[in-house]
Amino acid sequence: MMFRENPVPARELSVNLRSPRAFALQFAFVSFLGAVVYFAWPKHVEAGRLVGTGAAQNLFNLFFLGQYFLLAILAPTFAAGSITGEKERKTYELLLASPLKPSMILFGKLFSSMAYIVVLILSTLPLMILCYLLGGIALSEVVRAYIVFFFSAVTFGLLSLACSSYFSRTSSALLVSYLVILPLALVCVGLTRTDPAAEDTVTRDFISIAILPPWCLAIWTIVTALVTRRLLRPPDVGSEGKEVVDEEEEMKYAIGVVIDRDLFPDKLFAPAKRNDLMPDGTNPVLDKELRSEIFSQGTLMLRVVIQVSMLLSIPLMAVFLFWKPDQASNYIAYVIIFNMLVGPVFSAGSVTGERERKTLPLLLTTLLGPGRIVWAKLIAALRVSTVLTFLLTEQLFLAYIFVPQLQAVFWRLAIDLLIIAVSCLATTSIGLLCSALARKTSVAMIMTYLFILILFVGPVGAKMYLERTVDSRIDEDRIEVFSVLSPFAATFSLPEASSDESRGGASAGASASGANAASSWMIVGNVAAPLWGVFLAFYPPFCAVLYGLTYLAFRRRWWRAGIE
Amino acid sequence: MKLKYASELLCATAFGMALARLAYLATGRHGRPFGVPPSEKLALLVGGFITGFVLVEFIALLIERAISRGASRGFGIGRKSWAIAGLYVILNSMFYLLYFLIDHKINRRNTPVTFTFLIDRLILLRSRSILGDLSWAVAALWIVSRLAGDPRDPSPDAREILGRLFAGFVVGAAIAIEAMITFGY
Repeated sequence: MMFRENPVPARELSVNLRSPRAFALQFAFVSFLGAVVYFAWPKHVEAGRLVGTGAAQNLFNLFFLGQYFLLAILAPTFAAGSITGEKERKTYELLLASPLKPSMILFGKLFSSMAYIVVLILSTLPLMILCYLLGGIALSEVVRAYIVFFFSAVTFGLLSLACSSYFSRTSSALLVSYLVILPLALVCVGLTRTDPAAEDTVTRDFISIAILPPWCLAIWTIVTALVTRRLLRPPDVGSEGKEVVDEEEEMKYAIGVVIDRDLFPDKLFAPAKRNDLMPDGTNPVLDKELRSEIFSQGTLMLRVVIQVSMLLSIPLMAVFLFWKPDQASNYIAYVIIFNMLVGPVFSAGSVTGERERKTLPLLLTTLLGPGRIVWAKLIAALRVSTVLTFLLTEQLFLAYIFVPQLQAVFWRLAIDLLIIAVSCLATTSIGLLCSALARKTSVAMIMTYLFILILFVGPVGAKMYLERTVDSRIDEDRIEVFSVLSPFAATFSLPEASSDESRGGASAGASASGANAASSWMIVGNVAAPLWGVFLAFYPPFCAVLYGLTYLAFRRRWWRAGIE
Repeated sequence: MKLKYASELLCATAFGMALARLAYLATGRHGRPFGVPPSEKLALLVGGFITGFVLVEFIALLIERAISRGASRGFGIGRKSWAIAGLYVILNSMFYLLYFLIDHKINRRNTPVTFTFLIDRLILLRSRSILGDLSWAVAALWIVSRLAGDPRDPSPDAREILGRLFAGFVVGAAIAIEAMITFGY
């Protein structure tokens, strides 16, 4: 009944698997993991010969990490849009009015999104077996890895489905899914990864086999109950008649943080709705975007994002700012990751949102030029993203004032804040460009995340990967050049505070460690420049180019509309 | 909970953590080895954290009172807990500072009085004793409030609720640490 007579998976699977995206994604997935294995494959070993346990374990570990990372990123892209997609296509009510039980709808949606993920996981089995052929890895280890993949993938899929049922936009569901899933994925991979240095494999196996599955089953049960209840008694049915959520009504039932547009700091990113006429010279698009558009679907997504980010920041600041201040860069990395997730949400839907609501032709017929429209969209999205990101930096000020070791490197606070600000600009600019190029917000969002991942995480990931491989086929220096693209590399290139005091020493921690000084300089022409300096100098012009491209892409639509 | 208050809580948490760290480091600087019993270490850390947290919340309470003037809410148990804890920390520190300076002047002690030295002594001494003293003060406040028959706030806001939770936390933490000491940890 759940499967044979359920039309949902049949429809979803035929749509998903027949699309060119399915083929392209599988190709990219297997190619990426294939490249991971190929470039880490021991250079001097002929096929069929066994190498030491360390090399095989290292390769297996890299493969496990790569695949887990891809799973955590890909699972929400399929599941987070499965129910919001129905809402956006206006077929949600039809689906609910059908004789299908909520559990069948949920199962159908989950099965169809997970089926493709399972296909992706299984398609990498030959690569995993290649690692096994090197020797030094037990078959039980491969099986254990696939058990972890399976339970994690279904949990991530279910959590994304839950987000999809609670939000009305795919972009919101996707963002909140990532915010929930990425910390979970980090914890899970930390507990279950195959670390060659770790001797205690028994604990790891115990966690993978005995702890992870029951926890996942408990999460599945709770999430399934929540989603089926919401599908049975949906509070958001009838949204076709009222696209805009009444904020006052929403606030009455809000749990946790509420947004009050009249208060500081709320009005920095959500100014109060206008009740009077706009003053002369105001950009109407900017005014509309800030005051009405960005939160027209309610503030639930924003509230969840703020609460989750603040909650996550507490343990992170405790560890990286106050317990081990010599690792303060990790907290900056967290703020940048938060911006990577949040930044695109407000920009990637700017143009596609107009198209989806069929207001783009209307906008193009106004007297406003494309330059003003694109500028307004950029500023509105940048403002919201920057304010939300900088809400997480107040702790930094306190840490730099009160922690003696950080006082010694107080100047790096200014650079860290600049790095965060430039990252905000970059994520917003990339999101806006993708929004001008794509047709749907969900596609624009995924394009943006991919682009940002390649720019921000790619160089750092490649460097870490090369450091772990014994005989790499790639020259490490070539990859090093791309570090200037990554804000993570920029912040980690700054001198860290010394760790003398954390060991209870008597010195005031006045000296900054220069352990990472060697890798923090770049040769530009004949001049040696700090990596963070090159990063800060590179991105503003790069964002100007992105803005120019966005303008051209938007202007092309203008020409198409036949106005000019 | 308003976003402003959430940010304030984050700020208070960060300040509390900063003072907890300072208290911990001050122990090392003033001759106490780090091999102190876990209960004392915990009391020091929790005491430092509470000192910082309470100071921020008390200042915020004063600002709230100053801004809203006549239109401000009445003080429930939660707000009273913040106020008592904040005043206790401030008055106690001021008294200690005054005592220390007078003692230093009269007895012509040779120890150089630097800012770090004063802060260390203040935080270190206050952090160790604050938990015990404060827990009984907030417990007494709650009992007096019940005896006096103070009306309950029908719609407590976040500051009020957090104040009550804080009072509960302080009493709980003090009992837990006393239990640790009793059982030899």
